[in-house]
Amino acid sequence: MEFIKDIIQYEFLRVSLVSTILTSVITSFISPIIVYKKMEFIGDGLAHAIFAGVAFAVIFQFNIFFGAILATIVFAFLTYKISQSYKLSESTIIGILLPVFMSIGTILFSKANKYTSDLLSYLFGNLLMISVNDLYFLIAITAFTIIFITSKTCEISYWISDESMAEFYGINTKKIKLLTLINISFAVVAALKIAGVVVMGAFLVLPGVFAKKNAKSLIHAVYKGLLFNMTCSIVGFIVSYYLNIPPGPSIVLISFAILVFTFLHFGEVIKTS
Amino acid sequence: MDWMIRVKNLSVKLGEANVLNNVSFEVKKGEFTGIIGPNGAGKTTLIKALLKQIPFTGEVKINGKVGYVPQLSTFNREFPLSVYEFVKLPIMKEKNWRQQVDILLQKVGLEGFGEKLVGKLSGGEYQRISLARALINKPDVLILDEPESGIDEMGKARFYNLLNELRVEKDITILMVSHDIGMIFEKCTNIMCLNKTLHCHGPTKEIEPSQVKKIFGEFDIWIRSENHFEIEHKQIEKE
Repeated sequence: MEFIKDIIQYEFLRVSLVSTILTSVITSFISPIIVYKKMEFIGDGLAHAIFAGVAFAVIFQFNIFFGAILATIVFAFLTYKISQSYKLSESTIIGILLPVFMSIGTILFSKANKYTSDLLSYLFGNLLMISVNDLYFLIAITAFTIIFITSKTCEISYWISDESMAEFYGINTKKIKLLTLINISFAVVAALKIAGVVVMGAFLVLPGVFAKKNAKSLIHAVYKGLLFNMTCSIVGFIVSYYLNIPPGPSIVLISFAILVFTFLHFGEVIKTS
Repeated sequence: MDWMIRVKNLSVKLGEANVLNNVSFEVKKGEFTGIIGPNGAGKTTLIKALLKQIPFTGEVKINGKVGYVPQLSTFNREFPLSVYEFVKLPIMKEKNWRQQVDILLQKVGLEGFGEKLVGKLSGGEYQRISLARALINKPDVLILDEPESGIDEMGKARFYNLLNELRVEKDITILMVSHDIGMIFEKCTNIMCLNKTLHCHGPTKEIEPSQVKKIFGEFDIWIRSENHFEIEHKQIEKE
C-alpha cells in the first residue's frame, strides 16, 4: 500500500513506472527477433557501445540520450557495413567493436572525474534519472517499434527463417536488417536508464527465450513476450522500490526466476530453445 | 527460340580458385536435366550463377520465370513459420494467396498442412512444400539444388515422380543438382556431368557410363540395372 501511496504522491515514481512499462513493451517486440535470428550478442554490444556515447555526452554536456543514440547507431551501422563488406560473422565484428567502444568510454570517463558518480547509474540503471522528457522519447520509440514490427511482420519473418530465399523472391533483406539493427539500438537506448549497461543484454534476450517456446508465429511470440515482460517489469519495479536496489538487476532476476520456474514446471526444459 | 536456359563461356572464380571454367550449354523446353559431379565440382556454384547470386564472367540467360528449390539446410527450423506463410512467399502481395496455396498443397499431396509449422515437418514433407513454393508463381523453369538430401529412398522416388508429373502437366523445364546418380539416370531426360567444366551433356540414353566414371576419378561406378547407377568409394569396397 505504501507503494501505491508513493506512486500517487511522487511524480518521479509515476514517470519511472510508466517508463518501465514502455521499455518492457519495446523489448518484448524486439527480443523474439534477436533470439530467433541468434543475434543475442548484439544487445550486449550495443549496450556497451552506449557507454562511449554517454561518456561523450557527459564530457561535452549535451543530452545523454542523443549521445547514446549516436553511439548505438554508429555501432549498428559499422556492424552492418563490415558484415556486408567482409566475410566476418556479426558476432566476430561485435567482439571486435565492443571493447573498442568500451575503451573509448572508459578513457572519456577517466578524463571527467567530477562526473564519475553518474557512472554507476548508467552501469546499473537508476529510476531517479528518468525525467518527463525521457518519457516522450520512450513513447516515440515505442510507437516506432510497434509500427515497424507489425507492418513488416511478413518480411521480418522471411528474413529470419531463410534470408537467401527471402532475397531471391524480392524482399529487401538488407533494408530489413538495417532497420532491425536501428530498432534494436533504439530499444537499448530506451532501456538505458532502467536496465543500465551491465544487465541490458538480459532485457533483450530473456523475453524472447520465454516467448520462443511453443510460439506459433513471430507475432504470437511477441504477445507471449509482452505478457512475460510486463509481469516481470512491474514486479521487478515494486521489488526494487521496497528493497531500494537498482531496477535493472531486480527485473532481470525476477525474469530469470519466472523463466526457470516455467521451464521446470511445464517440462521440456531449456533443450527446446 | 527453343532453349529455356542458355549459358555461354561461364567462368566463376572464388578468390584465386577457378570454381567453374568456360561452361557452355543449352537446356531446351520441357527437358528434365540432372547435373551430377563429385563434391567441389561447382554444381551449387553453377546454380548460384544461374540465379545471379554470385559474380561470374560469360553469359547466362533464362527464358521466363524461375522457381527455385534450395538445399534443406537454408531454413531456420526453430522459427515458427506456418506452411501457409512459407509457400505464399513469392506471391505474398496477392490477395487470393490462400486459395493458390491450398491448390498447390493438394497437388504435392499435403492437403490440410497449411496451419502446421514448417519446423515440425519431416524432410520429405519439407521438400514438397519447397516445391509448392517454387511452383506458386507459375515458373517456366524450375531449378533444384540437391532436393533429396536427408530424405529416405522411398521419399526420393516419390519426389522425383512428382517432379516428372508436374513437368509434363505444367510444361515446365527442370534443372536439378543431385548426388543420387541412380535416380538421375532413372528419372531425368538429360544429364550433365560437371567437374569444374562440362564433361558431358546429352539425353540420358546417350550418356555412356565411362563418361560419368571419368569425372568421379576416385570412385567406382557400377550399373545396377540397365539404367541405374550407383557409386561407392573404393575404400569402402576394400573394407
